[in-house]
Amino acid sequence: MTTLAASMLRDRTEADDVVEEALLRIHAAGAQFRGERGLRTWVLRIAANLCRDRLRRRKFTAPLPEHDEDPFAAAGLTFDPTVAMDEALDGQVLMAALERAIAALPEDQREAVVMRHRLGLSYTEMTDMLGVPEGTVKSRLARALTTLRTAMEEFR
Amino acid sequence: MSLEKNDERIAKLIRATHAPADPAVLARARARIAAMGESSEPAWVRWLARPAVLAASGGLLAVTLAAGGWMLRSAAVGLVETSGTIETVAISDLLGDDGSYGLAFDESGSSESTVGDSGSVR
Repeated sequence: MTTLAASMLRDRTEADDVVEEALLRIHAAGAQFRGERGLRTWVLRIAANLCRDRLRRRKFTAPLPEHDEDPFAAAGLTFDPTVAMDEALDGQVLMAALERAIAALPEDQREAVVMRHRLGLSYTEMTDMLGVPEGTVKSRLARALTTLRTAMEEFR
Repeated sequence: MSLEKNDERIAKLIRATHAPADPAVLARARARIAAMGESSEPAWVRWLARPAVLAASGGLLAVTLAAGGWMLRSAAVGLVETSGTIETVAISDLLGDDGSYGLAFDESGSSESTVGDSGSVR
Protein backbone atom coordinates (compact mmCIF):
# COMPACT_ATOMS: atom_id res chain seq x y z
CA MET A 1 0.00 0.00 0.00
CA THR A 2 2.81 2.38 0.89
CA THR A 3 4.63 1.67 -2.36
CA LEU A 4 1.47 2.27 -4.38
CA ALA A 5 0.61 5.50 -2.54
CA ALA A 6 4.17 6.84 -2.67
CA SER A 7 4.52 6.03 -6.38
CA MET A 8 1.21 7.64 -7.23
CA LEU A 9 1.30 10.72 -4.99
CA ARG A 10 5.07 11.36 -5.06
CA ASP A 11 4.80 12.76 -1.55
CA ARG A 12 5.71 10.57 1.40
CA THR A 13 3.68 12.49 3.99
CA GLU A 14 0.56 12.31 1.87
CA ALA A 15 1.24 8.65 1.08
CA ASP A 16 1.44 7.86 4.80
CA ASP A 17 -1.86 9.67 5.37
CA VAL A 18 -3.46 7.58 2.65
CA VAL A 19 -2.12 4.35 4.14
CA GLU A 20 -3.41 5.31 7.58
CA GLU A 21 -6.83 6.17 6.15
CA ALA A 22 -6.86 2.95 4.15
CA LEU A 23 -6.11 0.91 7.27
CA LEU A 24 -9.05 2.51 9.05
CA ARG A 25 -11.35 1.82 6.10
CA ILE A 26 -10.16 -1.76 5.89
CA HIS A 27 -10.92 -2.16 9.60
CA ALA A 28 -14.34 -0.56 9.25
CA ALA A 29 -15.30 -2.50 6.11
CA GLY A 30 -13.68 -5.77 7.12
CA ALA A 31 -17.06 -7.45 7.55
CA GLN A 32 -17.99 -6.59 3.96
CA PHE A 33 -14.99 -8.41 2.51
CA ARG A 34 -16.28 -11.51 0.74
CA GLY A 35 -13.01 -12.82 -0.59
CA GLU A 36 -14.20 -12.82 -4.22
CA ARG A 37 -11.27 -10.75 -5.41
CA GLY A 38 -8.56 -11.68 -2.96
CA LEU A 39 -7.44 -9.74 0.06
CA ARG A 40 -4.49 -8.08 -1.65
CA THR A 41 -6.60 -6.75 -4.51
CA TRP A 42 -9.27 -5.49 -2.12
CA VAL A 43 -6.75 -3.74 0.11
CA LEU A 44 -4.89 -2.17 -2.80
CA ARG A 45 -8.15 -1.06 -4.38
CA ILE A 46 -9.03 0.91 -1.24
CA ALA A 47 -5.60 2.55 -1.27
CA ALA A 48 -5.81 3.25 -5.02
CA ASN A 49 -9.20 4.92 -4.64
CA LEU A 50 -7.86 7.13 -1.86
CA CYS A 51 -4.86 8.07 -4.02
CA ARG A 52 -7.18 8.99 -6.90
CA ASP A 53 -9.24 11.18 -4.56
CA ARG A 54 -6.09 12.97 -3.42
CA LEU A 55 -4.86 13.51 -6.95
CA ARG A 56 -8.27 14.83 -8.01
CA ARG A 57 -8.27 17.24 -5.08
CA ARG A 58 -4.72 18.28 -5.89
CA LYS A 59 -5.90 19.67 -9.23
CA PHE A 60 -7.75 22.36 -7.31
CA THR A 61 -4.86 23.16 -5.01
CA ALA A 62 -1.28 24.21 -5.56
CA PRO A 63 0.80 21.57 -7.37
CA LEU A 64 3.62 19.84 -5.55
CA PRO A 65 7.06 21.32 -5.98
CA GLU A 66 9.29 19.58 -8.49
CA HIS A 67 12.02 17.40 -7.04
CA ASP A 68 14.27 17.08 -10.02
CA GLU A 69 17.34 16.52 -7.92
CA ASP A 70 16.15 13.36 -6.24
CA PRO A 71 12.79 11.95 -7.28
CA PHE A 72 13.09 9.28 -4.60
CA ALA A 73 13.49 11.55 -1.58
CA ALA A 74 10.16 13.37 -1.70
CA ALA A 75 8.21 10.24 -2.65
CA GLY A 76 9.87 8.29 0.13
CA LEU A 77 10.91 5.55 -2.27
CA THR A 78 14.06 3.45 -2.09
CA PHE A 79 15.58 1.12 -4.64
CA ASP A 80 17.48 -2.11 -4.40
CA PRO A 81 21.12 -1.02 -4.92
CA THR A 82 22.14 -4.40 -6.35
CA VAL A 83 19.87 -3.84 -9.34
CA ALA A 84 21.47 -0.49 -10.06
CA MET A 85 24.92 -2.03 -9.68
CA ASP A 86 24.12 -4.50 -12.45
CA GLU A 87 23.82 -1.63 -14.85
CA ALA A 88 26.94 -0.37 -16.54
CA LEU A 89 25.99 3.25 -16.01
CA ASP A 90 25.72 5.12 -12.78
CA GLY A 91 22.88 3.41 -10.97
CA GLN A 92 21.65 6.48 -9.14
CA VAL A 93 21.36 8.53 -12.32
CA LEU A 94 19.63 5.73 -14.18
CA MET A 95 17.10 5.06 -11.44
CA ALA A 96 16.44 8.75 -10.95
CA ALA A 97 15.81 9.21 -14.68
CA LEU A 98 13.38 6.31 -14.72
CA GLU A 99 11.58 7.54 -11.62
CA ARG A 100 11.23 11.02 -13.12
CA ALA A 101 9.80 9.48 -16.28
CA ILE A 102 7.29 7.44 -14.24
CA ALA A 103 6.30 10.53 -12.26
CA ALA A 104 5.70 12.42 -15.50
CA LEU A 105 3.33 9.78 -16.90
CA PRO A 106 -0.40 10.52 -17.03
CA GLU A 107 -2.20 9.32 -13.91
CA ASP A 108 -3.87 6.27 -15.47
CA GLN A 109 -0.66 5.09 -17.15
CA ARG A 110 1.39 5.63 -14.00
CA GLU A 111 -1.16 3.62 -12.04
CA ALA A 112 -0.96 0.77 -14.56
CA VAL A 113 2.85 0.73 -14.57
CA VAL A 114 3.10 0.78 -10.78
CA MET A 115 0.51 -1.96 -10.35
CA ARG A 116 1.92 -4.22 -13.03
CA HIS A 117 5.66 -3.76 -12.73
CA ARG A 118 6.24 -2.46 -9.22
CA LEU A 119 3.60 -4.43 -7.36
CA GLY A 120 3.57 -7.39 -9.74
CA LEU A 121 -0.21 -7.62 -10.13
CA SER A 122 -1.72 -9.85 -12.80
CA TYR A 123 -3.94 -8.48 -15.57
CA THR A 124 -6.97 -10.06 -13.88
CA GLU A 125 -6.15 -8.36 -10.59
CA MET A 126 -5.64 -5.07 -12.40
CA THR A 127 -8.96 -5.25 -14.24
CA ASP A 128 -10.66 -5.94 -10.91
CA MET A 129 -8.91 -3.06 -9.23
CA LEU A 130 -9.24 -0.50 -11.97
CA GLY A 131 -12.69 -1.54 -13.15
CA VAL A 132 -11.67 -1.42 -16.82
CA PRO A 133 -11.38 -4.19 -19.46
CA GLU A 134 -8.11 -6.05 -19.87
CA GLY A 135 -7.57 -4.44 -23.28
CA THR A 136 -7.63 -0.99 -21.69
CA VAL A 137 -5.12 -2.07 -19.06
CA LYS A 138 -2.79 -3.45 -21.73
CA SER A 139 -3.06 -0.37 -23.92
CA ARG A 140 -2.30 1.91 -20.96
CA LEU A 141 0.73 -0.20 -20.15
CA ALA A 142 1.91 -0.21 -23.76
CA ARG A 143 1.64 3.58 -24.02
CA ALA A 144 3.45 3.99 -20.71
CA LEU A 145 6.26 1.66 -21.75
CA THR A 146 6.70 3.54 -25.01
CA THR A 147 7.16 6.78 -23.06
CA LEU A 148 9.54 5.15 -20.59
CA ARG A 149 11.52 3.56 -23.41
CA THR A 150 12.00 6.97 -25.00
CA ALA A 151 12.99 8.51 -21.68
CA MET A 152 15.55 5.76 -21.08
CA GLU A 153 16.92 5.87 -24.61
CA GLU A 154 20.12 7.65 -23.58
CA PHE A 155 20.92 4.98 -21.00
CA ARG A 156 20.88 2.04 -23.40
CA MET B 1 19.41 -4.25 -27.23
CA SER B 2 16.13 -5.71 -28.55
CA LEU B 3 12.81 -4.08 -27.70
CA GLU B 4 11.76 -7.02 -25.56
CA LYS B 5 15.04 -7.04 -23.65
CA ASN B 6 14.84 -3.30 -23.13
CA ASP B 7 11.29 -3.60 -21.78
CA GLU B 8 12.42 -6.38 -19.45
CA ARG B 9 15.24 -4.20 -18.21
CA ILE B 10 12.88 -1.29 -17.57
CA ALA B 11 10.45 -3.62 -15.78
CA LYS B 12 13.27 -4.96 -13.63
CA LEU B 13 14.33 -1.45 -12.66
CA ILE B 14 10.75 -0.43 -11.87
CA ARG B 15 10.37 -3.52 -9.69
CA ALA B 16 13.53 -2.67 -7.74
CA THR B 17 11.90 0.43 -6.24
CA HIS B 18 9.57 0.34 -3.29
CA ALA B 19 8.49 2.39 -0.28
CA PRO B 20 9.10 0.77 3.10
CA ALA B 21 6.14 1.01 5.46
CA ASP B 22 6.53 3.43 8.33
CA PRO B 23 5.83 1.73 11.70
CA ALA B 24 4.56 5.06 13.05
CA VAL B 25 1.71 4.97 10.51
CA LEU B 26 0.66 1.54 11.71
CA ALA B 27 0.85 2.72 15.33
CA ARG B 28 -1.28 5.77 14.55
CA ALA B 29 -3.86 3.67 12.72
CA ARG B 30 -3.94 1.18 15.61
CA ALA B 31 -4.48 3.99 18.12
CA ARG B 32 -7.30 5.46 16.04
CA ILE B 33 -8.97 2.07 15.71
CA ALA B 34 -8.67 1.54 19.47
CA ALA B 35 -10.16 4.99 20.11
CA MET B 36 -13.07 4.16 17.80
CA GLY B 37 -13.66 0.94 19.72
CA GLU B 38 -13.79 2.80 23.04
CA SER B 39 -16.54 5.12 21.91
CA SER B 40 -19.17 2.41 21.78
CA GLU B 41 -22.13 4.68 22.51
CA PRO B 42 -24.74 5.14 19.75
CA ALA B 43 -24.02 7.50 16.90
CA TRP B 44 -26.75 9.98 17.93
CA VAL B 45 -25.20 10.32 21.39
CA ARG B 46 -21.82 11.01 19.81
CA TRP B 47 -23.52 13.55 17.52
CA LEU B 48 -25.12 15.27 20.48
CA ALA B 49 -21.81 15.36 22.29
CA ARG B 50 -20.14 17.32 19.51
CA PRO B 51 -18.90 20.75 20.65
CA ALA B 52 -21.00 22.61 18.09
CA VAL B 53 -24.20 20.87 19.17
CA LEU B 54 -23.37 21.36 22.84
CA ALA B 55 -22.69 25.07 22.30
CA ALA B 56 -25.92 25.50 20.32
CA SER B 57 -27.90 23.68 23.02
CA GLY B 58 -26.36 25.85 25.75
CA GLY B 59 -27.14 29.01 23.80
CA LEU B 60 -30.71 27.91 23.17
CA LEU B 61 -31.18 27.11 26.86
CA ALA B 62 -29.86 30.53 27.89
CA VAL B 63 -32.16 32.31 25.41
CA THR B 64 -35.14 30.24 26.58
CA LEU B 65 -34.43 31.00 30.25
CA ALA B 66 -34.02 34.72 29.54
CA ALA B 67 -37.21 34.84 27.48
CA GLY B 68 -39.11 32.85 30.12
CA GLY B 69 -37.93 35.16 32.92
CA TRP B 70 -38.86 38.25 30.94
CA MET B 71 -42.31 36.83 30.17
CA LEU B 72 -42.94 35.93 33.81
CA ARG B 73 -41.90 39.38 34.97
CA SER B 74 -44.12 41.07 32.36
CA ALA B 75 -47.05 38.86 33.30
CA ALA B 76 -46.66 39.65 37.03
CA VAL B 77 -46.51 43.41 36.44
CA GLY B 78 -49.49 43.25 34.08
CA LEU B 79 -51.48 41.29 36.64
CA VAL B 80 -50.86 43.86 39.37
CA GLU B 81 -51.81 46.74 37.08
CA THR B 82 -54.93 45.01 35.79
CA SER B 83 -56.17 43.98 39.22
CA GLY B 84 -55.68 47.52 40.55
CA THR B 85 -57.75 48.96 37.73
CA ILE B 86 -60.56 46.46 38.21
CA GLU B 87 -60.74 47.29 41.91
CA THR B 88 -60.86 51.02 41.21
CA VAL B 89 -63.58 50.70 38.63
CA ALA B 90 -65.68 48.44 40.81
CA ILE B 91 -65.64 50.79 43.80
CA SER B 92 -66.30 53.89 41.74
CA ASP B 93 -69.20 52.14 40.08
CA LEU B 94 -70.71 51.26 43.40
CA LEU B 95 -70.44 54.80 44.69
CA GLY B 96 -73.05 57.29 43.61
CA ASP B 97 -72.51 60.97 42.93
CA ASP B 98 -73.14 61.84 46.52
CA GLY B 99 -70.59 59.35 47.75
CA SER B 100 -73.18 56.85 48.94
CA TYR B 101 -73.67 53.39 47.56
CA GLY B 102 -76.57 54.45 45.40
CA LEU B 103 -79.14 54.50 48.21
CA ALA B 104 -81.03 57.70 48.94
CA PHE B 105 -80.11 59.20 52.28
CA ASP B 106 -83.18 60.06 54.32
CA GLU B 107 -82.43 63.25 56.28
CA SER B 108 -85.85 63.40 58.12
CA GLY B 109 -85.01 60.22 59.86
CA SER B 110 -88.53 58.88 59.08
CA SER B 111 -88.63 55.20 58.96
CA GLU B 112 -91.97 55.11 57.12
CA SER B 113 -91.66 53.95 53.65
CA THR B 114 -93.89 54.98 50.84
CA VAL B 115 -94.34 51.50 49.70
CA GLY B 116 -95.54 48.80 52.01
CA ASP B 117 -94.90 45.18 51.86
CA SER B 118 -98.41 44.61 50.68
CA GLY B 119 -97.86 46.85 47.68
CA SER B 120 -100.61 49.36 48.69
CA VAL B 121 -99.80 53.01 48.61
CA ARG B 122 -100.72 55.13 51.59
